[in-house]
Amino acid sequence: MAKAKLRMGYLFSFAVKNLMRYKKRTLITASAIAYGLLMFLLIDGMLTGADKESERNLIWYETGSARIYNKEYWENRENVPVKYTIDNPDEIMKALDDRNIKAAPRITFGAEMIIYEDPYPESGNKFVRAVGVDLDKDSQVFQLQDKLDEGRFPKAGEFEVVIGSWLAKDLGAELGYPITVSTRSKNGFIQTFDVEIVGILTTPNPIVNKSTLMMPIDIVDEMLLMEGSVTEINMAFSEIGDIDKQLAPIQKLIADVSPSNEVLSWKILGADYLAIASAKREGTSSIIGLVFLIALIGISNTMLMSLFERRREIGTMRALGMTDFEVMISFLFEAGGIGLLGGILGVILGIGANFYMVNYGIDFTSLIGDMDIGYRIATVFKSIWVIPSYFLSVLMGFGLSVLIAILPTRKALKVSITECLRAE
Amino acid sequence: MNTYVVAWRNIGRNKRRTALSAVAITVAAFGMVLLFSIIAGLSFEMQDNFVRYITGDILIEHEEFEKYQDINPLHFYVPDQEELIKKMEALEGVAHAFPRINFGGQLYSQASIGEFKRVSIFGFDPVAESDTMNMTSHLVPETNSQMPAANSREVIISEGLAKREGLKVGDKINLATMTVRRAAFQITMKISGIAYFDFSQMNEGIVFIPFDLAQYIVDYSGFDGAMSVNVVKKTNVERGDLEKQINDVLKTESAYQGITARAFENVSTIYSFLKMAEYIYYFMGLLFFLLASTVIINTTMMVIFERTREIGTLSALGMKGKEIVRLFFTEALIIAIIGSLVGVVIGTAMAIWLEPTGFDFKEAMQGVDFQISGMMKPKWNPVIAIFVLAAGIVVSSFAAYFPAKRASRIKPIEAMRKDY
Repeated sequence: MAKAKLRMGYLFSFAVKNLMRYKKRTLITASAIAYGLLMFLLIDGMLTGADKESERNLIWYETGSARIYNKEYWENRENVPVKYTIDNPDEIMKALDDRNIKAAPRITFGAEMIIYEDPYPESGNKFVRAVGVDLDKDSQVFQLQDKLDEGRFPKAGEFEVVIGSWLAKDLGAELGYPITVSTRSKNGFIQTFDVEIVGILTTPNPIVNKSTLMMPIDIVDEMLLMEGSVTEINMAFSEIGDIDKQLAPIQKLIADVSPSNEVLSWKILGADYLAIASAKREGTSSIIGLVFLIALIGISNTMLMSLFERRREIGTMRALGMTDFEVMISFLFEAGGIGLLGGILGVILGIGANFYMVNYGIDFTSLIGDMDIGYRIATVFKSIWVIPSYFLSVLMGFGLSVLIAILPTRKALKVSITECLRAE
Repeated sequence: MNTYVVAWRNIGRNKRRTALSAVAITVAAFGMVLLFSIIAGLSFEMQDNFVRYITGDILIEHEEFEKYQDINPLHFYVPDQEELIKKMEALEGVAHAFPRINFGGQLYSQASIGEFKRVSIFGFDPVAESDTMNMTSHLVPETNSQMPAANSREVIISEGLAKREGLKVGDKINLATMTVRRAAFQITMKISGIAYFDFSQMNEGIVFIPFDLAQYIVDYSGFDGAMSVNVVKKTNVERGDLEKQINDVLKTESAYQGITARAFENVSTIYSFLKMAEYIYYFMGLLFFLLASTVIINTTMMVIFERTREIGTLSALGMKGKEIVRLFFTEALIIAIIGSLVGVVIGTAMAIWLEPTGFDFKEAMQGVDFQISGMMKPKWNPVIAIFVLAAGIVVSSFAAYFPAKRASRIKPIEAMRKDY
């Protein structure tokens, strides 16, 4: 092939002219790409929205930013152990306080909750994870203020309890009703005591609404013979940033102050939720795979068709002295143009659709009810703007189109000029 | 002129174009058949699991039980279960019936002081359920497992529980639970076997207890109570009919006041779960249908647009607009039929081929609490094939019809001059 100076500008305007000439084909292919990208943007926005809101609700109401546990605790968490405890909570609290970190101790324990007919509509028993809290400190770590539907928080030293609103509804519970709590103390004997419902709690986190049973920590300490030990210390960091970086100094501190304990971030604490989220993300990637597939079939079909229909044109171009490379470039420009157009169209459609999804969302209440789907959100799915995805979409539309066009163009260029010109 | 003959000639004349659009339709139809089969398979498996392990075809229990099932309402029981089972099995449409008692409890031992080990207790009759649940076939062979001996305090535990607690055959477990009067009750039992189920719900922390022992524990023995009696129908009987028949029997007996029978579809908690799963499946199916349609529409429309000049020529040669539309429509229809047919046949073959083995999805399903096993087995049925065939043909011929109609309206001169 003779070394000719590449006339990029010329080839570009040539490609644009061709695109304008075949307006309909350009539009059809571009809209196929746009449709695929719209799907991607819609689902990406929705899943990311649910993820982000879940994360926030997880941190604000369930796990805090991070938590200190006895090193043995996490592995045995399924058994809600009260034997793997933090034995020097005051010392740790003070050390955290010195560093201006908000922290609150809790005792989480498993119990059989027993209720009897009158005042309840039916007798029954139910397994619950109950928690003893230090309310002053707890409200600094968790966003529980103003979340009471009715009543008040329990007072220290009183046998009182706040329960989640969904749980209350299931039991038919109201303020003033008694609950019998049957559990085992730290050294194994059975302990049974009564508490009175003084408040009913609703948060944006359904898991909390479904399972909360919150009583004063001093009562729990006394009943379970904890002797001042707690099962966990929760912490809240004022800004949501790179959690691992924020955690490093605290991990070091804990290693110094109480080496039998460890610090876990909300990412580990919410692992079950995150596992589900990652499975959902796999779903997203398969949708992206499908989008690729459509774009692939759509674009390659168009390119094949157009190259096939335009054999004569290619022959003419080559006969008039255009090099194979130039023909290739001009066709790639065309493919890129279609891809770009499709990408932009997809983004515009995506912005339109997500505008609704971000501001209104879809209400899944009738579908989901009170079922546990892993997400920590109320049943209205709202999207958020994931800006990088929009750039990615345009890039994907463009890049993919060009990539797919290479093969058929090369094939067409292998045919001799005379044969091209002879074509029907 | 015979449109049909010309259409065939056109199809043969431009083989590559024909192949291109036919392949697009084939791929779409193939994908649809396979995906719909997988969806049907998932749906079927979930239902089958629920019927087999949880409810039976008809579930007989106290009418208040379901409402309060979250709070272990032991006091809503079915009395005289043996008598009831005899009555049920005397009915014509009933294959067999068996009793169940399910409740919660905790395991404890010296080592678990300071821990709260939750388990579910599944009281079942190994003999009566040998056809449906077939516990013997679920015993893990390497563990030297045996069925519990009669009148003993022997139990089977799920593999999940054995793993979690490091328990093996021959070990003893202590169970603490509550009787029907909510009195604390504790008992020591010996593990005779370990069982594994593909159905995740049956493989969590579960202790399988022979029915009479379960009766003893919750103190149902005095009145021969059961929490539910599950009825398995004969294959040629409708669940709805049997439900009605059983309820008629229950109504006549004063001893069974408050006891009702519900077909599997009417057990609302499970039904709503299945319903939601179905919605998700439909949504997945719809999404894929739309995607597949875009491929078909895109290709077919493109073919017509590319041939605008040809339409102009035909028009100039005196062919009427209607005839042109008919010609192009016939062409598209033939390609659509061939493409869809081939796709449906390949998809069907693939689905049927995969039906016994299935895809292994265990890895992708980890951490997802959905009541299906990790194997996805497609379940093909004729409705899927017919639907996809019809959808493929309708979508692609319509995709051809409208642009052809438009093109036929363009003046011949313009159609020939212009590059579309």
